[in-house]
Amino acid sequence: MSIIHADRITKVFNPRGKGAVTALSELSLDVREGEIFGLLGPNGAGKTTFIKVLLEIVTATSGTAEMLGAPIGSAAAKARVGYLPENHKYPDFLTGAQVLRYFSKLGGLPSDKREARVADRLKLVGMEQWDKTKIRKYSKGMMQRIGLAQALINDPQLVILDEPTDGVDPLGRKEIRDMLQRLRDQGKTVFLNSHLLSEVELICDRVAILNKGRLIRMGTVKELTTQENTYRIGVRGEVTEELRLNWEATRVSVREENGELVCALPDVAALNAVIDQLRAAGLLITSVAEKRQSLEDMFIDVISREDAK
Amino acid sequence: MKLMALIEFTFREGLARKTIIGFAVISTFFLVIGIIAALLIPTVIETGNPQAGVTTIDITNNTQVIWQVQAALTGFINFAALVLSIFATASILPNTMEKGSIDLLLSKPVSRMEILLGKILGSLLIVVVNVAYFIVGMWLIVGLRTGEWNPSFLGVTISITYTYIVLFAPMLVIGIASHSSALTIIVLYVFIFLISPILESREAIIQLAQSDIAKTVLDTLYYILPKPDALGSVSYDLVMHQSLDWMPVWSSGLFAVAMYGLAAWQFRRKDF
Repeated sequence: MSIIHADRITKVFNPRGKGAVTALSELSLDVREGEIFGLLGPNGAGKTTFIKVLLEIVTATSGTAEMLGAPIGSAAAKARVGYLPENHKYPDFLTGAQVLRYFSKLGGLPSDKREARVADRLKLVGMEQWDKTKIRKYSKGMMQRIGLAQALINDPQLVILDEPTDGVDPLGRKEIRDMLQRLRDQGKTVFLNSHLLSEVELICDRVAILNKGRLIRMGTVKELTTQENTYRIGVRGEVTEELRLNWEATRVSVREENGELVCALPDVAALNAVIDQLRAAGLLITSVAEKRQSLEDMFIDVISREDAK
Repeated sequence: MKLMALIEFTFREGLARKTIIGFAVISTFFLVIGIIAALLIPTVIETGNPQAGVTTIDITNNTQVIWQVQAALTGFINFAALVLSIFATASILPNTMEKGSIDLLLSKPVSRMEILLGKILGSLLIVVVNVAYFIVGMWLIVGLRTGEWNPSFLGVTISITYTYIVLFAPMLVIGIASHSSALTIIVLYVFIFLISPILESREAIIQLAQSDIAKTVLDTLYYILPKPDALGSVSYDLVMHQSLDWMPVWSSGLFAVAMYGLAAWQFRRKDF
């Protein structure tokens, strides 16, 4: 089941003026129930605009979208969504607990459940000791934690987080990652915008990459980071000059990298042929695996190629 | 529940930003002056001189004099309350619309109209509480000193609040368009202290200018725009138990309705 379904969403800011900016262009994507979905892209790619369209903070110029089976912007959809915006600004004259109470009221949480829920969420984000402290005294990391608690206050089915680990120390980031994975284990869907690709790689089931408002790649982390027909072969023994010359003559791309052979081959049959040649030369095969890039390398590669077009 | 939460939050915001407290401190200062004046000024006044004969006036038996005092107070309160109310509440909507704040509000299952209404009613509550505090305080001082309990003087709370409601409408329009509380305050003050008095004395200007175009322009502006000065005169007439001129009330009301409609339209379609 799609928790978010966007169909050809376009957003143009200032469409009639000279400075018309296309923030989103015909963007279609689906986010499935119970997954952690990461939306990546360079600054200005349209990631935050897409979230704002989903919550009707900005109105789409064209296209349609649904969230949790209801039209975007509807109270029915919003009642089941928790949102942590980037650079959120909470009323600094309230304490952490008061902030959660206020937003729980706006979320429609019944008063008989409120106090227990506030206490529970404060505990969840490790802020129970700071519940009576005014927000203005909070550090950036504490603000981020209280923001997360606010996003979760109404026990949402879908959690949308825009840079949730921004300003949080490594230990806090690990806690947030664990929390998001627990949410997924509970059947919740998490939609994540983040610049920290290493983190996205660690927790996201699927990712989409936006550039200049357009969707350029989407898939599981494995799908996106696996380099097609490129393999790593672990060997024990010296690669002979004869082998190298043979590969060069047959135009087989094999290079050494970190003690392994990296082969870019046309198909699996070619891989087997290379393995046979290695064995025939007396080398021992210790491992064979598809070559994968880090998400960060893949991201830089994809964006560079797009920008070069 | 959601609307109540928004109203309560707006009131708390006013408290936190010290605007309500500042308002209350100024009101208390003038109430203390009122108490001192009530204690020092005798209720029996002698006028005239020994040669011509001395007339003794007992204020407590002269409701007209008491009403005059209250009407004079009304003029001052009307002026001070509007200046302070605008200052106290002009930042409420621009603050709400700041990035990071409005996103959070709009992500909740609350309609934009509820948010706007919550801000309007919250601002109104700030003003009503402060104006009522001052008016009721003055009413008690005058009543306790003279024994004259003029109920119409309490009605000034309503007329001042009404004037504020009228002026809050263009404040919303400017605030939504500009996101600037400073600009909102400047425009409103220019209107109250410059444009409105000019339009009130348009007859004299027209006589001086002797121009049909000037007459048409000034008359049109007068009838279209709100009339804080004329509404102040309505407060005066109310206290003096005189018949009220309803034209400034309904024409200003129409202007406010149009402005609230425009503000609602702006707020509904705005991208944040």
